[in-house]
Amino acid sequence: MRFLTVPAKNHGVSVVLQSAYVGVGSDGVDADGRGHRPFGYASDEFEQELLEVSALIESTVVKHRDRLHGNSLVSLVKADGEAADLSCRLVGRATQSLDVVLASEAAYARPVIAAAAQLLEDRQGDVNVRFLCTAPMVDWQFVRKYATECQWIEVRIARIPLLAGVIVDSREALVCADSAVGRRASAIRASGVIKPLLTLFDGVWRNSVAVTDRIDFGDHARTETARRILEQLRAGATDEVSARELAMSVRTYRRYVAEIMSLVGATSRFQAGVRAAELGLFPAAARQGRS
Amino acid sequence: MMAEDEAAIGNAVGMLLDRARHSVSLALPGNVENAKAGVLALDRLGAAGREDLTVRLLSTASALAGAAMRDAEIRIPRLETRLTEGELQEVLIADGRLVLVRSNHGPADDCVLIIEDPAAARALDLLFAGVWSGAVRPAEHARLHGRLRSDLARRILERMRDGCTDDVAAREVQVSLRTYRRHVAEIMRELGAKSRFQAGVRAVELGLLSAGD
Repeated sequence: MRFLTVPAKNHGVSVVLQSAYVGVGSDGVDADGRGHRPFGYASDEFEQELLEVSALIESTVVKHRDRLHGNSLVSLVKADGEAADLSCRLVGRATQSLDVVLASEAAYARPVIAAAAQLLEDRQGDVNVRFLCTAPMVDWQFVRKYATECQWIEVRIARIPLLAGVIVDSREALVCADSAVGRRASAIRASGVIKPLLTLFDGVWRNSVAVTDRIDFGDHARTETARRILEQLRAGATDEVSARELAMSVRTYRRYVAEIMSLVGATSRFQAGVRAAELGLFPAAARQGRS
Repeated sequence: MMAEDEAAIGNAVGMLLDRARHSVSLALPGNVENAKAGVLALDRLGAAGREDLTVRLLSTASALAGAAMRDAEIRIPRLETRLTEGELQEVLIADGRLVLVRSNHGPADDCVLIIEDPAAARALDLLFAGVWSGAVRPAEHARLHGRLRSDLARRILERMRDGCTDDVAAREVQVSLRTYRRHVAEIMRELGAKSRFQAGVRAVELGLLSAGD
């Protein structure tokens, strides 16, 4: 029973196979050697085994060769413009599915959204598209057109930390994330990495609220009033307490609440709460398991 | 063959745990017996008793009954467990930087992947955090899946969502108005809501109304 790491060829991904152990010298001897065998130096015999196992990896793990990235399963990408460009190109190649995460910044989001719009027009919705965004990343025109009107895509709002990326056809991905060492981006085609990415994406998706449209309360003052009223409603305060908090009469408060209810299309307070949550009017509190 | 497989997995898990300095996050699928790497990690964490590590364990309700998780609760110092719906894949993450994943392309291809690529590892870590924040503690999960997901509770919630008045809804679920209101009050208590509006928000947040999907 042996144990293989293939660091050089597949950047940052070591495959530990059930049936091969080959010590490769790049990391040197492990610090304490405890619990596992120390890495040795490659020898002819080892190199031969390496080649054999490489072939095994190539045939079982690699599904497609991308001309852009040669044979690598995971490759580093410059985290600025190149990441966005590559993502757009990836998006354009989607034939079955596209899963997008936008929880980072507009400089990445804007071109990717544009590329997705183009894809949708080209394929007339014949692609399964999911957008997982944080509230500030939502492009309402895009949502209105493709989620609400055409119903070709679904957009859900989630609280995810700084992450952006696209997964195309459950096969290829580009991810861009901030870490302690700075922003990094990688193009990924290793199905062993894509699969957990998708599973976790599904996990977040399942707990996220779909948005279909944005509610416009009117001018800034009215929007601000609406926001404060929604805050009171969400806190479960009585009308009397809320009206006092907002320095208005109970009757005026109730009139505003009625207006909000009609704006979100609700005939009961419970229904209004449901609609407001579904419309993403409480982005800071989306889908939590605890009160 | 079995013993040797476990040696390889053991090496990989050992390496990951040795390198962890602050945190270990584990996602375990429901059929825990197959999650060799995860179970081994829990066992080693239990044995090591590391006070410096924050351990987050994400799994599904079906895994709760198993010995591995029960033992983990007792032995691992700073462990938090949360439950989520849906499929999970075996994933171990150390310090948000080093990831171990079990990969099953088939019985011949079962392998363990170590992912050190910064962007890929971070993406997995951040998505884990996303699932984690939507997951619930076991006690809350029991509550949600008990009283709030009973047939009657569901039917009542649906009518409330549709904006039905109380007396129409009571008639539809075939109880008296007073009984209906009592049920609603119970539901609101389970939701931790003081007003009907708040109950509506909570119901959506806890996924009691949507299809989930």
